[in-house]
Formats: sequence, C-alpha cells, structure tokens
Amino acid sequence: MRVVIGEDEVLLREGLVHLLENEGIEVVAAVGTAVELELEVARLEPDLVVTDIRMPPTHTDEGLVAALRIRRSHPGVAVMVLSQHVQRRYATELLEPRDGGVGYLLKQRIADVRTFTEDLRRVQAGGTALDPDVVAVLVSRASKTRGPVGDLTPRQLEVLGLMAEGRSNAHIAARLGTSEKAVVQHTSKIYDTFGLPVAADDHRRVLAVIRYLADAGTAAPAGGSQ
Amino acid sequence: MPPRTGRAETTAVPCTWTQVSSAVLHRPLGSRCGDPSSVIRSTDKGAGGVRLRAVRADALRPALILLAVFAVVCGGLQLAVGAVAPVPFWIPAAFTAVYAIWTAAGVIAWWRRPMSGTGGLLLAGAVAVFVGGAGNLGLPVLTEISTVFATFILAVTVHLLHAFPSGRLHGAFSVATVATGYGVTLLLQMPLYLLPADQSALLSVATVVQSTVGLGVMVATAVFLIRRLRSADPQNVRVLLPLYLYGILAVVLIPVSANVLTLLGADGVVIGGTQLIVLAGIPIAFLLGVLRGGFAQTAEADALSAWLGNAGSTGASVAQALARSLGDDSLRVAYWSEERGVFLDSAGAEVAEREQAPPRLWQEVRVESRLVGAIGYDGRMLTDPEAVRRAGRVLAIALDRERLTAALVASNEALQLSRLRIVEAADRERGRIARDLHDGLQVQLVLLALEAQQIANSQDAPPSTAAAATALRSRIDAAAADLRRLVHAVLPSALVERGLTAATEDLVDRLDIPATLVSDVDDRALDPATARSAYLIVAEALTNAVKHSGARTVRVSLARSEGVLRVGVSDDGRGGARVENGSGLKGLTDRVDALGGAFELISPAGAGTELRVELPCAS
Repeated sequence: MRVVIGEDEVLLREGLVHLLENEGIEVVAAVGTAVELELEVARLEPDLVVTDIRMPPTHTDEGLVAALRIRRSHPGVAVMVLSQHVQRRYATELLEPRDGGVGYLLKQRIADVRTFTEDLRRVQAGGTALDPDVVAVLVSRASKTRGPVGDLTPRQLEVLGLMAEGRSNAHIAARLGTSEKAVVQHTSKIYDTFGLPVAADDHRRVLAVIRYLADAGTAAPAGGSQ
Repeated sequence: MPPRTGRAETTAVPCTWTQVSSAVLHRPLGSRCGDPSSVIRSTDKGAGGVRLRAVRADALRPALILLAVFAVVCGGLQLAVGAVAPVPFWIPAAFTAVYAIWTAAGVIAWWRRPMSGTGGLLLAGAVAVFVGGAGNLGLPVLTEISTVFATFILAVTVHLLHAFPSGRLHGAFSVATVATGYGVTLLLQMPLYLLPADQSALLSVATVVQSTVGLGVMVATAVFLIRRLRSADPQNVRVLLPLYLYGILAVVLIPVSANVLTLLGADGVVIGGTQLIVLAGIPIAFLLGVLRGGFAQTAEADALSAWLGNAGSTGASVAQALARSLGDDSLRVAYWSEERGVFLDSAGAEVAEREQAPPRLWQEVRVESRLVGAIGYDGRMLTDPEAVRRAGRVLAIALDRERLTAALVASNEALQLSRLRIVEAADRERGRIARDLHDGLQVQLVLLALEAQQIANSQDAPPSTAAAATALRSRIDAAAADLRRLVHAVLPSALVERGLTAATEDLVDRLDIPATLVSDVDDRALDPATARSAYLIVAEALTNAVKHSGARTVRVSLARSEGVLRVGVSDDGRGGARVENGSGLKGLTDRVDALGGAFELISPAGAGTELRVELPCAS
C-alpha cells in the first residue's frame, strides 16, 4: 500500500512515517501543507492519503477541504482524516462525495497501532472508519429523537455503534466477547427496527446505518412540544 | 404572571446626551453624570441671570397694558372734548389718531423689545403729539402748554434716529446733537410764547435762530446717520437706510412744509393734514424697524437658554440664536482655541483683528475665569453691555456643556474601547492557550501513547512489560481525552476551523437533552471576534439550561441581518434565571456591553428561560 501523509507537526509526521513503515506500509510522500498534499496526490496517485485537518497557512480546515477535493477528483485514492477533535458535520461531509474509502479518526487513535493500521487497510479496501467519538455523537443524537433508535437495547446500541465505526461482524464479535452469529442476530434486529434492507456488503451497511443515524438526528426531538 | 425582564442597556455610561444637557440646565443636584460640581456652579450663575431678566420682562407686560389703557382713556377724553370744542372736529380727531399711532407703536415696541429704549421714546413722542393736539381744544391753558411743546416731537424724532435700535445714545457727538435738538425745541421755542406779540422783529430773529440751530442739528444728524450706514453690516443697512431717510425727511419737512405749502397757496387744512400724515409715519417707520430684521427680539433670554439646552447647539446656530435674542444680526460667536491661542469662528477659521475693534465690541466669555470664547457685536446696535454679558453667561453654559459632553463622549469611548480591548485580550489569550495545547501537549500525548504502544508491541518485551505499557497507553489516551474536552471548552476546534454555526452545531450535538439549532449565518462572512462571543453566549446558556433549569428541550437560533447578529437560546425549564454577580450570565452581559450589543433575559418562574442577545457585526 502506497501512502501520502499530510501533517504539519514535524514530530507527529515523523512518528506516522515510522509507524506505517514498521507495519510494512510504504510512505511515498510526507508533506506539511494541504497544497503540497494535493500536488503529491496528483503526482503519485497513492492508494491512501492520511491527513490532518488544520494545516498552514490559515490553520483552519484546509486539510479537510483538500481531503474532500481528493475524494471527488481521485476516486481510486482512499482518504483517512485525522484530527484532535471530531464532529458530525465533518463526518457527513466526508461520507458524501462517494461510498466508502474514507476514514475520520481522532489523532489519539494512532497510538493503538494495530487497530489504526487495521482501519487504514479497511479504508484503503473501500471500507469506512469512523471514530467512536463521532459515532457516539451520532447515536446519542439519534436516540434523543422519537425515532426507533431509542427503542434499542444497550447491547444492540453497542453493536450499532461498532457497525457505524465500520467494523466487521468478526471484529464486533471479538470486541463484545460474543459469537459472530449473535452479532448477526443483533444486526438484523437493528435493520428491522430501522426498516433498512439487509445489505450483504459490510461497507454498504455501514453507510446505510450512518445515514440513518444522521437523518434520525435531524427529526423532531423527543419530549419536545413540536 | 407577566414575564420579568432583565435588560442590560447597550450604553456603558448611565447618561445619554439629552440627560447631560438637562443635567446642566435643569438638574441642580444629585446628577449622576460624571462630576457635576463645575456644571452646577456655572448653571447657578448663568440661569440666575437669565431668570432675573425674565422676571423683569414679566413685570413689564402688565405695566404696558395699564399704560395702554390709560392712553386709550386720554385719547377718548381728547376726542370727547374735541367734539364740543369751537374747532372743526377733524382737527382733534386727526391729532388723536396720530397720537394713537405713536402710542400703539411705543407699546408694541416696548413689548417686543423690552431692553430697547425705542418704545419709551415713541411713547414720549405720543405725549408730545397729545399735548400738541390738546392745544386745538380751545382751552387757553392747554393752548399755552401746546405752544411750549409745539416742536418737541421733532427733537424726539431726532433722538429716535440717533438712538435706534437700542434706544440709547452712543458717543458724545450723538448726545450733544440730541441735547441741542431738545434745546432748539424747548429753549429756543421760548421767545415764541414769552415775547409779546408786538415784538415782531425780535420774534423773527428768534425764529431765524431756532431754524438755523435746528438745521444744524439736522445736518449733524444726517452726518451721524451716514457714518453709521457706511460702517453698518449690509443686513443692518437694509433696515436702517429707509428708516433714516424717512426720519430726516420728516424732521426737515414738518417745519419747512408750512412755509413751502403756504408759498404754493395751500390752505391751513392741507398744511396741517400733510404735517400730521408725515408725523404719523414716524412711529410706524420705527416700529417696522424694530420688528423687521435682526432688531426684533423674538426669543426671550430664558427661551434662549432652553433652546441651548435642547438643541445640539454648535457653531453657527448658537450665534444665530444669540443674534435673534439680543437683536443684532451682525453678532458673531468666536471660540477660544487653547492650543493655538487665537479666537476661531464656528467654521474653525481665525477671527480677524478688525472684528474685535470699534465699532465692533468684543465680549469675552469665560467659564470660571477660563476663556472659552467671545461674542462680537455692533456696539451701536447693542448698547447695553450687561445684556451681552448675560448672553455670554448663557453661552458659557452652552460652550461648557459642549466641552463636558465632548469630554464625556471621549471618556465613554475610551472606556468602551478599553472594555473591548479587555474582551479581545481575553479572547486572544483563549486562542493562544487553545493553540498551545493543540500544537504542543496534544501532539506530545499522541507521541507518548504511540511510544508506550510500541514498547508493548515490541518482540523482546516480556509479557508483564507489554501489559503495563498497554495500560499506560490507555491512561495516556484517557488523559488526552480530558485534554480534548479542556481545549474544546477553551476554544472549540470547529470555531477555529469553520466558524459559529459549525461550532454551535457540535455543541448542540453533544448536549444531553434534545436541542435544535436554526441558523442562517454564513460562517465565512462572520468576523472571528463576534463568532467567539456568540459561541460563548450559546455555550453558557446551554450549560445553564441543562444544569440549572431542568429543561427537557432547548432551541438555539442564530440570525444575521443588517449588521446585527441575533442569538437566541430558549428552553422549557423552570425559569426564574437571574443575571447575578459571579454567575456566568453576568460575565456574558459584560461581554455584550463591551461589544456594544444588547442582552435580554426573559425568565418568568415556571415558564422557561429565553435569552436574546444582539451583537453588532460588520456587514
């Protein structure tokens, strides 16, 4: 896997390069600005881009803007966005241009090297990786409405959260210490509750779940007078 | 129950412009505007003088009414006696009519211009006409008296010409001329009634002497008037010229016409009638002079001070009001420039030296011995320096008020700016702390956790070390999560990266209770300082809604129009929220005040809380 890194903090950039190379991932370029990032992506056509959001010169959202542009203009390039803080708006924006091949994680997740590289590989393979923090926002927001999310059991909510993070049934089962079969049961119950068609493809079901949660959150809030 | 409303006004200083002016002019004590001591001192002096004059003017009016009634009675008596007198009735009737015109002109002039002696002089003329008319009633005593005062009216007219419009004589030349005029009509008249009728030679000598001296008076008067016209302002000439022409013509015509008309063969009726008509024109001319142009006092002094108190009295308008009040269109107000050491006019140009030289007079205006300005006026138009001094005191109040207001506005602006700087400094500090944490500590924690994990993952690490390193990484991650929340509270990433709506959306997303956000704000078009303040307001209000009001839902609205950002946060909680010292809301009102916005908290007990804030934002 060929990767281009965009990160303005030198120490962190070096750390990332080191980490990825240790895991056998080839870093073809590591740059410190969004402009350089886009240039390198156009030049090198990597499999994956790992980028920060805040970068010079304005230190606002140029990394995210570059990531969104790359997603539109380079369908073959997967994008992993890293940030100190994650929020719903950026997640939905990143998911919008095309299905899959996208990740959005807190920078702190890098430290859990195994999970992180697993996420990178999944994203590169067309999957999705959403940070648990932003998934928590999506789920809690959706469950504050009068929709069916509030009807799920705690275990179903756990499964839902992991699904939204982009995890496979196997991973969910391992994480929850249960069987894959039990996870499948939970997921189909969740689909039933949401009225979603069962998707064979792991990647597609993630997107369906996330979109469902995002939409549910904008419905009328529970307990409101509306 | 009606909603209780707490409102923080946008102005930082408790006094507005109009309050300042009313404090200066009407509020004697306990004024809250700045330090009132100097204001009050000058108020007492100035207003005291003004009030005195107003009282005098008030007492004058009933006296004038009484005088008018008395004059009407006298006129009626003259008519009544004239009706039975052995002369044609038209003669007393005509005299009475002319007398009535002089009287009316005198009363009106005195009424409209109490500070001028013109009205009094016109009334003196009325007495002269009355006495002249009484001589025709066939009563010997009255005839004698009438002979004594036969030409007195001409001296009064000369006096009027010299004294117009102030009613007071100005300069020795004028005084001498007028005194000579009275001498001609009273002393040189004596031979005409004291000498026996058979002394015709002596009589004609006396007549020639009287006519010659009288002619001298008229020439002197003409010279005086021409000099005045030449040095008068154009707007004054406009009124003075016709008046002077008619006055001189009348004084010359009345005695001369008798001889000329007799030579032309006119009979006594025509001569008498002509003289009376010319005589009747004199008071009308002077009354018009008093009422026209700048000579009419249309504003009382107290009205002037009230006007100064209410109007945004600056520059030319002050001078105009003073000119109108005092009756000199040529009046100018100059302002003393401390730094340049010269007098400036209202346009800021230096006042020429000749404006301060005779015939112009120069009344300096001082506030507590400090020179603030001056009134330049025509010394012949206004001969009462006390009236100008009084006007000067009123002006001093106005000028001092302008100075105090300017100082107040300046200090208010300075205060406002300093509060704004404090808010901005606090915001900068927040930004710096957030950036330092973001770029420094957060990165360090990522690297530390990464290192810990790499130790845990290394091939040659014993299992116990690997477990400990993994646990360490988890704890570093937890610390990083704490730090993330801290940074978010100081200055959220979304606010830095995107702006107000994005940051508020994240805030609402993470709230424990259902919340809706309605926003039409374009984050890119809103300046960061306003966005930051609005964000902090929303964050504080949401914290209160969740923590204190027990709300089940909350609504946030952000709207921007015409340079104003409107922030609204309403919940369905228990209400009764107050802006109290030490509370988060108090800090917000201070912030809103400093930014020049408006803050409104509507929180009736049991019916939810609504916070409405308006912040100015450049459009």
